[in-house]
Amino acid sequence: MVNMDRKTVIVGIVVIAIVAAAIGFYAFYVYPQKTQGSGKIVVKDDMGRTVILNKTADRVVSLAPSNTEILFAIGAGSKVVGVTEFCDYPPEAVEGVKNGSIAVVGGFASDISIEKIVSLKPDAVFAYYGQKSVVEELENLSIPTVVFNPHNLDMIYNDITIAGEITGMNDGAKKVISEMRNTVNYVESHVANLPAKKVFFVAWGNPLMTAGNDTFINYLISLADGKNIFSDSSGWPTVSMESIVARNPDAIILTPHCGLTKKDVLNNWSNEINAVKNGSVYVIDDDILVRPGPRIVQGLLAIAEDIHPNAFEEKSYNLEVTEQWAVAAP
Amino acid sequence: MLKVENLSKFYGRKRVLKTVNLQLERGFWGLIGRNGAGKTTLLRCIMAMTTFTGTIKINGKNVKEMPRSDIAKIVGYVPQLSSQDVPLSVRDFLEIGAYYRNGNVDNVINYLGFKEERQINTLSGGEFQKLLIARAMIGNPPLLLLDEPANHLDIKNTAEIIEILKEYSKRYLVIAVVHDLNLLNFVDGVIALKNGKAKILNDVDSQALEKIFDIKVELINAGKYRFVIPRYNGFIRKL
Amino acid sequence: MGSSRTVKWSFVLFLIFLTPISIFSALMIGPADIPFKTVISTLFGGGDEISRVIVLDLRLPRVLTAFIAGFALGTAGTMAQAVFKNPLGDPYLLGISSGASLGAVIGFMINFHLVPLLAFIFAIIVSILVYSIGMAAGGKPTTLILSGIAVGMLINSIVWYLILSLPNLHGIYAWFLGSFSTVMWPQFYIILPSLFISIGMIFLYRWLNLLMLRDEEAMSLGLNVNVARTIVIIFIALITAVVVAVGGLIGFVGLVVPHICRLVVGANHRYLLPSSMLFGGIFLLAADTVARAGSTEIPVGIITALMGSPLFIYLLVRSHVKG
Repeated sequence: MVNMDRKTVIVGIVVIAIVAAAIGFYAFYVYPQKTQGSGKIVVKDDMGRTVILNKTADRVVSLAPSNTEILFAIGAGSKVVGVTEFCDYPPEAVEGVKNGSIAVVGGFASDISIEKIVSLKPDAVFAYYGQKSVVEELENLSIPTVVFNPHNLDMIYNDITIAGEITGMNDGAKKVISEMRNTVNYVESHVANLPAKKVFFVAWGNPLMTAGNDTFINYLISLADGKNIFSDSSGWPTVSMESIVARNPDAIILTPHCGLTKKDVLNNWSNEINAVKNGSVYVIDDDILVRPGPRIVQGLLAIAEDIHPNAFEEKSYNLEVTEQWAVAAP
Repeated sequence: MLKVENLSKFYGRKRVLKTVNLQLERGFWGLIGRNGAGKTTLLRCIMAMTTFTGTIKINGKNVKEMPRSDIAKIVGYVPQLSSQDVPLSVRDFLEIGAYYRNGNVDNVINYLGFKEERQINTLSGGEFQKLLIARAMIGNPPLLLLDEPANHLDIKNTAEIIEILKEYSKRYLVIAVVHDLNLLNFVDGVIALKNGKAKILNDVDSQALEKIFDIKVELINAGKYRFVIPRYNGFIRKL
Repeated sequence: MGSSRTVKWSFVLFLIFLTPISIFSALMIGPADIPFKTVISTLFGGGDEISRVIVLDLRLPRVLTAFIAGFALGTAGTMAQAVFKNPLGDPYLLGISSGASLGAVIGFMINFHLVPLLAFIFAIIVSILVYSIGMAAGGKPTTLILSGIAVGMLINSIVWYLILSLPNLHGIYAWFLGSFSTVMWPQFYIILPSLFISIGMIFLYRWLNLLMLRDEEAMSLGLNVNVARTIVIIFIALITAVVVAVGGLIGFVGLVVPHICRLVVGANHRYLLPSSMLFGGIFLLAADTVARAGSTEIPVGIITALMGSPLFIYLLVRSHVKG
């Protein structure tokens, strides 16, 4: 038993505090500075994780369709060596999988093959929220992995910037972001000061499911000066026809994969719904509504043009082919 | 009344009954034999509840050619096991037994003296056995088959049931599988099953019983009754 | 338990009396605020256009469909428990749930408008398979149950494999839990035949009473057990497959409603069958009314279990204490 007087204790605490502060200063300020100087890349992803790369990545793997779209949009497509089976855009990515220059590493989470990823010797992996176990395993294998989980446009811009830094495509990233901002400004300038339209979004047709207030679609609808009629619920709630009739949407948005066609809605749903009475039923490709990538602003534009048809001189988005997709959808 | 001709029954390749021939008119008949001798099988064949070769006729009618509902009208059957755990009242239970018979359930309930709303799972073993026999007698079928009717019953219930059956056998044919050989004191005739063959025992003596049951027995005469006692010594030595 | 015939008939009469009351009450309730008086006047030809749509085109078919589905499941459950001589007897035991799931998953893969049709067809095909295997293995109630379990495991493994490849899991999960959320008049006409078949089953109450006894007992009492069992199973499969096609796999009703009624009226199907069908109908209607009352839907299967389990546990314990 050592008897320490109060002085010794205070001195000890001060020393420990100084050492801790020094380590912290080094870790959070000096080390990143040094690494930047030495060509190292330090980024903070959407989960708050700090990821450090020794050099810009030449070989990258994408574990989500939106990540793949971001990488190709900023001009890093030639660096992509692995994607998921759901990565169906842009056509270059599909072509790459077809001719064997890009490998498919799995589906979404449990069916992703770590072994396949490792065999591709990637310099960086772009993962998505919900792939925690995959990310942990990649970390253990010392493969730099960033996780994206954007909740709004600013976070998407941030993700695009991160992707640019990691792949060395900073200019490409800036260009994509400014193009996206232009589209958003174009939409906002046209729909500003218009009365908000009540919108019902069909996520799935049987049972009828829609998007709640914590979804990206809800966010896009409000950006497009619309009001999601089920913004008082969260997640992906099932709703009854009666509450749709009672809430009386001005526009109904379908997706090609929701199982309902425009014809189904116009013929079978009650004429008491304004959207049905006025024929304001639209089909928008769900890929541009739910994938938080560069094309999300096209989704925004499509919603705005559909729910405020008079605000735009010409319609840039039209998806007539979807009527056939609905039946042939996988 | 009952005529069994060349009855044979196979279970797989094993022949349980070998060309059994029987002709019975009326009275109370005890059916004896060792476990597995085919006693229950014989009853099941008579009811056409199983396939067999040969012919069985009741009142001149071939049971194989009769629909189940017609057989139920002329044969009453008391099985070894019944469903006492089903939540039914006495009346329900008897009514179910009368669906394919022409008989009055009310008379039976009065005769039994049970409350008609009593649940059958509250009946004692003896009471339930009486209920089963009463159900089998609904509509007075001319042939009554019972599989060990006195099993697990105390002496009073056994006596009551024997009395009921004796009374019934004055007009009709009653065949009961019997394991307690002392009950043979009360039957009009004995059918023995051994190695798949059936034989009517004219005289129930120790020799005949020893042949049927493969054990030495002693018969003790007490007035008009005879009691059967197995010779335990001999049995143990044989082991 | 030891209730007299009068008590049993009064229970049935009480349920008959309760049926129109519960249907009327259910029509009053919904996410859209429509005053009591407006609903009444709408039902008798009045009302404005919007209340006509909501009451007559949306609520009425859904309320009737939910009632008929419960009515049919109560009937099929009672018949299944008699034919399997097993308190765990459930109409879904016959491979109907696994068959219908397979059909539904395939439907969701192709086009969900095909879900009811495919669910019905596969339910019937798989129950024929289960029955044939059960008969080949001796045809006893236990073998039928085991055959149902074995075939069910086989089919379910295929179902789960297919589910992995579905682009949207919400639909199939909602279907597994059961839902009437998209029911309108067409679905009502699909389910209507099961109402008539169920009512027809009342005439089979003698068979059911005999089938729940031991086989040799039933035979000795005049029932051609194999024929009766086959016919009853065919009807169970038909009734349940129709319900499943419209409402998905609504659990609990077929299993527990007959039990609850048996605790009140006993096992005689003369009282049990009408009680179970009416109670099943009222019970599922109440559950579906709760499921649709809020602004968003709750799968009705969750409500049936939440409402039914406490009631069932209470009756079970009480009957033991009393008994």
